[in-house]
Amino acid sequence: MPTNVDAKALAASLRRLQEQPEGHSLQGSLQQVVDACVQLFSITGSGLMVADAQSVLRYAVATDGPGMRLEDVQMEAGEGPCLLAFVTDELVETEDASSDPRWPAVTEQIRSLGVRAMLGVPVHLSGIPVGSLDVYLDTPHRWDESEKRALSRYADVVEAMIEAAVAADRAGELAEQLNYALDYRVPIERGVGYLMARDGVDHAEAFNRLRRAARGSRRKIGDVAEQLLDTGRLPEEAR
Amino acid sequence: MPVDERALAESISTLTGILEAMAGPPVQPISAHLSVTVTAAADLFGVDSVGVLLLDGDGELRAVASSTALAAALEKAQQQVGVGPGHDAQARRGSVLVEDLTAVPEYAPLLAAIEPLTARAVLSAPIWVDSEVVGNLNLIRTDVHRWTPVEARSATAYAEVVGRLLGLAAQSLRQGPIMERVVPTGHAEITDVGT
Repeated sequence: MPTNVDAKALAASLRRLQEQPEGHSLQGSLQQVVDACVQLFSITGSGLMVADAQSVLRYAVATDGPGMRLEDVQMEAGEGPCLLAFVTDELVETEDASSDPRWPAVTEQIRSLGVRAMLGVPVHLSGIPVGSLDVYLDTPHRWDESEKRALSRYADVVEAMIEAAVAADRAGELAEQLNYALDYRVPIERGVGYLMARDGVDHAEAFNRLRRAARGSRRKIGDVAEQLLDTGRLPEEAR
Repeated sequence: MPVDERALAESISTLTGILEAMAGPPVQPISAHLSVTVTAAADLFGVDSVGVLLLDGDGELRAVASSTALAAALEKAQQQVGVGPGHDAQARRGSVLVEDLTAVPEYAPLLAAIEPLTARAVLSAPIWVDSEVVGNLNLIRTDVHRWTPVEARSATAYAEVVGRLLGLAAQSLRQGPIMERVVPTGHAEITDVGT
């Protein structure tokens, strides 16, 4: 087979790219995928949150300042559409987040950011929920079924990007977060199921109890879940 | 959605220049990722079919992925006759918007190679990896359609995502075997890489 000079030049170019810090980094890849999201859906902004070792969603990337603050606000308050999408592993929509009674602790701050309609979908790594993809508009909007389907479809692309990026870039805090979520999601899910059955609560409340127990005991949520499964008790319920 | 896994594997290998060193590691993750991405594109853009052409080891465009037989037929024809929107996008390093394939005289050989011809409007967006155009993403409709600037910009953004995925795959393959736990299950391994 004849040697193709163009292909070699391309390979050399890719090798040069690999040496650049932001060439194909996990962070850069996720940033690109949320940037494209804005172009594709004609929305005001988009962001991606990823769960940390306490299974608390953390800001990963966002397209703009309000998008970043939006993630921080929900993270600090422990409530909001993005968090709910992750906890319930289901799409969450709101016509106007700045007046939605489901999240009273964050509505005022959301209003001050100029954020109104929001749509959040869970994202997965190898089938395990690890975060949420969120889009927002600066005006109230009733999301129709085609828009919801489209964002869920795009979440598939985001997941493919996350898998490819984690495989390619295994270093860094974000990669550690994703790896932790992957390693401990199974015991966490089992712990949530245990609390749902034991306490008669829904998935979101069971997850929040587990999360609060982890934060209260300053332990990782995976460890707390494993203890719960071993002993039947949360740390705060110890004798 | 059918993915020509062998063609894909060869394209990835060419991109990275690691064909000789690979010794056949599984590359099904990028195959699955590309499949998801192409299928999603058809839904997101509301088109009838989507295909991806990538450069092979000889620098020739090869049909790598197609969401339906419609895209597969158009891509194979482009590969055979060497003309078409994908080739033009490659040459121009920019998007090519075709309202009606039958209205472009230069595409006569392409149309003659497709029987029956059902593809009419095509938007071909270049796929970049670093500073190189390594192929193109093709959105295909069966009706005559004037592509809007919004569609063109969206296709460009989406093709950039595809390029990033390919770049990440190349990076992973250079680093060695891809982590097993991020390898989706249920996808056949490709064992004939480079054969």
